[in-house]
Amino acid sequence: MRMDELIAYLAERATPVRPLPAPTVRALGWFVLAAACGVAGVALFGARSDVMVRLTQPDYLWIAMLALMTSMFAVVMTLVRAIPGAERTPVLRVCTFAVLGLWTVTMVSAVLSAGRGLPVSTDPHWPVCFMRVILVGIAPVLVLFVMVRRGFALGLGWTAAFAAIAATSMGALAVQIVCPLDDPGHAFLGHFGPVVLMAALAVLARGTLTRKNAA
Amino acid sequence: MTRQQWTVATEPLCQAFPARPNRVRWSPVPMTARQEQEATALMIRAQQGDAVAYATLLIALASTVKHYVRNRVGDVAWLDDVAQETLLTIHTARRTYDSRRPFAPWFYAIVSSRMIDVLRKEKRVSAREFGTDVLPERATPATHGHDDSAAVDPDDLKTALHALPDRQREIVSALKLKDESVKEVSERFGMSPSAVKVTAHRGYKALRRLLRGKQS
Repeated sequence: MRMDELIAYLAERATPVRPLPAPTVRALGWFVLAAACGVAGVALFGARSDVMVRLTQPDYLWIAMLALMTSMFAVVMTLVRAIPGAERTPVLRVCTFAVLGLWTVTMVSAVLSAGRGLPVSTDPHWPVCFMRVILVGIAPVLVLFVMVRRGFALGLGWTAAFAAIAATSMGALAVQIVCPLDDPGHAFLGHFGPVVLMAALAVLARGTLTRKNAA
Repeated sequence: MTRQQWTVATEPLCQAFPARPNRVRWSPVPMTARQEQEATALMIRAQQGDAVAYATLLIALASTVKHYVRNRVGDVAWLDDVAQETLLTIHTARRTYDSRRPFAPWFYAIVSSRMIDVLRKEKRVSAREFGTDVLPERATPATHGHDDSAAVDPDDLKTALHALPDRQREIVSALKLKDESVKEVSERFGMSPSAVKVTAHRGYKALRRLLRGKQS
């Protein structure tokens, strides 16, 4: 097709469109939904009996804060990446990676300092938590992918990964409030594992998840 | 692109949208602050469904894209591909433009991304294919040592084509002689692409049968 023909073709199809709200506004809307899903998950599975006590202990609070912050940064990052050219500085990306990295380091160092390794076969409860994280995060992640598809992400892999991390981090936070087990190996496999796995799966399915119209 | 070429390129569009002639005549240089303001204004109108503003914007952006790519990778053969891919992406992504934000970062993010995509595609293609300045000799029945019984006489083909039902003949001619796409043919005849393919297939079969009959 010649250039002038293409331009005429596109101009004929210039239907009115409503510009998307700012990424931060969209992120806020999504975050309310994700928080509601987290609360629903806690209500469904029941909070651990000593949750109020644990919430006063720094190690527990630190991991909960990291999960929450990861979710917040990742969702803003996802929705910023869904708008071409909206990521004007690398500050947000650096912050997201920093929080995610801090969370990863905290989880890994907890497993290493416990010295018991990962209880892949010895702990029968981690698959339950694993599934619960995904269950809590599934609705938010689907909504987030719909939101991304309404925009136009240029870098699909990272966008998909950030979306999955945002949703499953919220799931991990909810499950941390539910799960009575404090073993670092269990937390790594059952709470943090789904975040890594879902991010990897999202990267693999990035094209389908994040792009409505192949450009 | 010279001014004259630019005018020639935009002429068909000015004719297509005669109500408001193309007032913006940007020179093909990277976007200046004034051009960015104009682009923002045009984009806002395009988002409201103003086809003239949209066409004007796309004409200007096509030239800017070409200049941008030429500056970075030189006068490559796939300059037009990048420009067209960029315009298609702008069309798909036009709702993501926020008029409170500057136009240039949004636009250049799309251009860079499309340029990289086309560059990758070109590299993949060039890794598999090679160009040659001398065209290879065309294969003929004689060079292969075959008899020419399989060759079709153009007159026979013409006669066989005329023997087809009107619709079949028109579709086969459009697809094979005029090199039109299935989509174009389906739009012209008001048929679905599948119906066009089925009709064409029946036409080919009928042609084959007619030509075989003639040869035997």
